[in-house]
Amino acid sequence: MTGNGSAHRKSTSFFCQLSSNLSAYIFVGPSLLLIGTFSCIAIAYSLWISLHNYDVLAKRCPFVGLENYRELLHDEVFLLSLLNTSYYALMAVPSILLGALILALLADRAGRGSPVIKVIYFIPSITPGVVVSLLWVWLLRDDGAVNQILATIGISGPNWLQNPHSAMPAIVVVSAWQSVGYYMIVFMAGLSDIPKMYYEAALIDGAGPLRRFLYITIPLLRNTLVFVMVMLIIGSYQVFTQVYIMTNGGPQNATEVVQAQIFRNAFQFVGRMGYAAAMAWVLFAIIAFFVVLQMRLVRSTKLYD
Amino acid sequence: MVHSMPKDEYCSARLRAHTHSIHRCLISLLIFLVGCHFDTNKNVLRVWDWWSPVEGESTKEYFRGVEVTFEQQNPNIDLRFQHIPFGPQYIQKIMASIAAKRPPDCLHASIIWANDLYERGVLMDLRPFIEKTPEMADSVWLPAALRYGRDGEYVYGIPIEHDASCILYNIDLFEEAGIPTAPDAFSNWEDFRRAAIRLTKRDKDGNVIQAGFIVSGFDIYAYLPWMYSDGGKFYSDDFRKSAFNDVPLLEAMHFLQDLQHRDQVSFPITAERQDFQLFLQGKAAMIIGGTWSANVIRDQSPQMRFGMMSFPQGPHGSGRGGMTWTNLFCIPKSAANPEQAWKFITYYCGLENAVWKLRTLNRNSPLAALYETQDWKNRVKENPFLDEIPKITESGGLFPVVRFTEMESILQPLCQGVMLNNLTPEDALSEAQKKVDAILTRYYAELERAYK
Repeated sequence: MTGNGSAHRKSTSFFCQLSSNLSAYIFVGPSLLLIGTFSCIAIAYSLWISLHNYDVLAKRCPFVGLENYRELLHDEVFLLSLLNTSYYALMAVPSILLGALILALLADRAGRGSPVIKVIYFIPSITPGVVVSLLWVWLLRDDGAVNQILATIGISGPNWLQNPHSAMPAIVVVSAWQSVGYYMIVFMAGLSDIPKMYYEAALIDGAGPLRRFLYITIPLLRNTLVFVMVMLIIGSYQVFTQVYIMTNGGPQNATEVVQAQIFRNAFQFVGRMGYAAAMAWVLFAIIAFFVVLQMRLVRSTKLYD
Repeated sequence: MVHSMPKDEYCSARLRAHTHSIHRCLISLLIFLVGCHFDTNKNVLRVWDWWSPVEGESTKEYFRGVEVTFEQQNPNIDLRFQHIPFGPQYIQKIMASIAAKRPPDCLHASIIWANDLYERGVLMDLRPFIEKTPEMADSVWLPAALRYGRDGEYVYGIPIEHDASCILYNIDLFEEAGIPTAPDAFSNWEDFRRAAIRLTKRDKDGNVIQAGFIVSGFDIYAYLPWMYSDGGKFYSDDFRKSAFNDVPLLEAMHFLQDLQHRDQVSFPITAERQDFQLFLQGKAAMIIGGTWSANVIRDQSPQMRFGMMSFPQGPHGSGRGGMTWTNLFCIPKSAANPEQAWKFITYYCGLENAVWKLRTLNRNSPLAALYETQDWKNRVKENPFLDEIPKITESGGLFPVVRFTEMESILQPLCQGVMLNNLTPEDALSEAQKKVDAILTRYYAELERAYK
């Protein structure tokens, strides 16, 4: 009796809650349906695909278990692309983060010139990646503008995109140039949230600009920094457009990245969709690992107030 | 003075106006419905092609002619070309349409992917159609065209183009340098090298301002014609292993590497270098082109005097060479109108259209009969380079068709290494052989396991 009564009370309270929040569910419903169909089901399906020798045209898709994942461990090109992607992330994340933070600090102090600076630095972010990449292909050619500028100060620049050592740094520069404006705006939003009274108090206590930056700005920007770092890590491991347009993975696979490998295996090679799905899951695991690690290490829920 | 209309008269005028409007609407609706009715009587035939009217005026004229003629001959068919850019997006769309059971009625298939589609069982056997259509019989095609689109008695594609890579040369620059302009003027690679050096011009700092020959060695396509002219082959005879790791391809790689780095007859290697444009601008005396290049040159540089030649004989070759391929027209098994698609293929790949293509685009055909027509003979008189095309196509070796896209992605970095002088041809080919053999082994295993 007691058990039944408890179950009855629970179901009544569930329906009560449902009816009281019905309008919220109705509003959320369509989005949930879309996300469920096109993201959750698709993601789950890709896991299934990664365990099969899947081909969209084949009559049978035999179950291969972890064979695709095992093959990845011996695939030199995939491992190299993983290494290249990490190398890209290692260069791109700090350079974009620092660049955006410095620009945000400068723009924050620019006073009336701030909107102009924001617009100038934000323009590359709203320019399509393909356009930016094509533009830089011309700037970075052997006799392009970059090398001509370097020549005026007596430096003979390399053939940037055709040299295995300089191709990836060149792509990082392009990515940084394109992304730094967007993250500058994010940092500026973070800076505007820091109460001015902390700076005033520090000033009275005799703290210099560096101390104010290190002990007020950085701690209070912590959550913004985490957000920017997480987004940059995710974006870096998903780099594709610049590589595809500027070098197509060359020269000699020096700029081949994981996303390009996934694309090639899924859509260019025959019957490699399962293998591409396995690559995508490995990439997902790597990104998830870094994101969780960062959240654990850096994120703080406590602010000064 | 304003004349005011009595109310009754005004109402009746409004009524008349409304009635007229209703009548007009009804008539329009009737015309629309009748139009729709007539439209539904016509069968829509969807044809996918990467050739497109946007390529130039001559191609636009060609497609206009095809549509008009075919629809006149087949008044019950509404021919609808759907032009899709060549490349990965083309094969992706084919795969998606076949998987969704809404493929086009017929499609232009590059040999790069036609074999893969056939092996996966999605292309119709056209043999029963051929047996009813003598003008599409095996005997009407040039022998080299029959190397593609068939597996024993199973025919999955009808030849539409018969193309080969060749060397395009600028006759004016040849004459200026005192080099003979006949297509067989270079009998071997050494003749070619010497001519390329003579044709190269430099500024006072030694930079190339006119390339004798633009070396394009970043992909395997650039080396294979040279390999064939040196007696090499890509696959073993049973197609189960690679056979390119041998003297001919090694020599071809060394030859091109030397032209680029030792003899310096070409411009520096850059990603965005537009070889064909440099040729059109008269900044390159020779480039690798194709037998299809003529109409593009005619469209973009009508005054240019140019010639085409096959690849001169290599040190171990037995004659001139190159690489020839034959793109196909195919019908997917799940096509809605296979009979009408076949009608279209019979017209599109047939002699009448081959002549039209020759007139508008200066293109040859895999049909042997074309070369006997008066049109061909007249065209050759006006454009002497055309005379060379059948010789070029017949001397060419096989285009590698088995899983070529995947192989290409492996071979390309190795070719780049060779051309950038970071890798010896010996190391590159040894690496390439291992990887290509692995792909072929997997390919045949998959065929046995999944597709058959």
